[in-house]
Amino acid sequence: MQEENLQPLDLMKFKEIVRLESSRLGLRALSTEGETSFTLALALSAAVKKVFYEKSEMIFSAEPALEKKAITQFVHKMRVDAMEKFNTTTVFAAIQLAFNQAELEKQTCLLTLIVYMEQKFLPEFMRLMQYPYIDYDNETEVKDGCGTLVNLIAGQYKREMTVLGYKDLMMSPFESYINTSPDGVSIPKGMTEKYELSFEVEETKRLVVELVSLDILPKLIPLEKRAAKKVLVVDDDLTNTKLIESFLQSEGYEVIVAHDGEEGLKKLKSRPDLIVLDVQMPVMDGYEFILEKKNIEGANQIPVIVLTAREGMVDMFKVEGAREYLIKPFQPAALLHSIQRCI
Amino acid sequence: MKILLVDDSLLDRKLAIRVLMKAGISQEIIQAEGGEQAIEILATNYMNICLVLLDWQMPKVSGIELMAGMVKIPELSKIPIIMVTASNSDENKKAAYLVNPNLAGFVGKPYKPEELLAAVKPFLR
Repeated sequence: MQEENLQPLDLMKFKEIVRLESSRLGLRALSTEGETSFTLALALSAAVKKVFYEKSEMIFSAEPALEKKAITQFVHKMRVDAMEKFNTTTVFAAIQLAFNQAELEKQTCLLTLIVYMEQKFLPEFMRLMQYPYIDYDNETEVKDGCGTLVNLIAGQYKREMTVLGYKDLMMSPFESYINTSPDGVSIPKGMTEKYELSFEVEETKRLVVELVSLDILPKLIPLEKRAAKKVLVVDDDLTNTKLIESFLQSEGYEVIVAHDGEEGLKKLKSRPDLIVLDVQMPVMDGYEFILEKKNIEGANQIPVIVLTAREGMVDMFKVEGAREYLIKPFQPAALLHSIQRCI
Repeated sequence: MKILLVDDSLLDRKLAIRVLMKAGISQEIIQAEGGEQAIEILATNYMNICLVLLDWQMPKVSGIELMAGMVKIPELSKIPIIMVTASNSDENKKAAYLVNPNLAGFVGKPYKPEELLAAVKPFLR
């Protein structure tokens, strides 16, 4: 067995085989980590991105960091010290989601969403969201501002979840606080999981969103099966296209690959339902592609997801009608979610 | 030839190493703290590994997932794997053999030293 000429294995390929095999055989479900509650956290991250992408000029400077965290809780309330997040006066607001109004009143919610932000940064955020200027010395105004934000995010999150095939949930009025909530924030009764999502603006952490949900939540609001769709991937990086292709195929999509904009335009003939578009490519780059695509009959309404390494590029594409964006490097699951929202 | 020991619990790794050492097993033991690290070790060192002791429940890449990948790679499919796991229900055992019909052994945690040794010894040279 110990032969000198044995070559090391291709690490990326090995990892990909492990991933593909375990998803093919459904092994994730036999493992410890709840992929499904992770899925819900990803949907939340997408909702936050979308709220800002649609309503403001602002684009986050990286894909949001997503971490599973422990909960310090007492009698279905979570201990909250917002100062831990930013080290400065911090305002936060929470909302509960439940099946219906009656459940909300009984305080048997399914999940709790909490949005944290520095007090001094909040007026800037609200201005970007095209809300009237907030007097940040006025505590009530600041609290309401954060409440508005959690409302917008929770509203979008509900829509994301229905798009993914989950039931439409009911939302409680927001509660907002500054720095510390002495009695804690209400969370679902039962075994819960917490995910913390951090968003950066100009490379500084500016927004934190927490999701506390029942660990059995995905089973309570089941997911429907989706039909096979055609995705055109336009990217010159072979490793990238290979990875995206095999990943999307394992998720049941038909994948067409083009390695530059020109080839991409030609392949529009195969009538894809969606385009995943890289920005920097030889021959014809992503921007030229999206402009040219407009002139092709029937191609204008095909949704586009832009992949880019630089957040500065996103605005240009937004103007030309790109539906979503992902900043490299991104999680394959995040791409899947963008796709599910578009088609 | 070396033994690859994959377990996210340091205590469990120490325990297994002590059992093997006490029984006079002289093979070098390489440790991995999880499936991901095991993938990296296997990719470069598979030619020197004669046996894998594999925990099931690990964060990120679990033992069963790693094994599902290994059986699909010709260079790795020949390396014997023994699952050493607390997930030792009959259903899990069945699932493990479905994923890898050539599974070399299945040892439930907590185990007696003799149980682990009996499973390991046939594969040492």
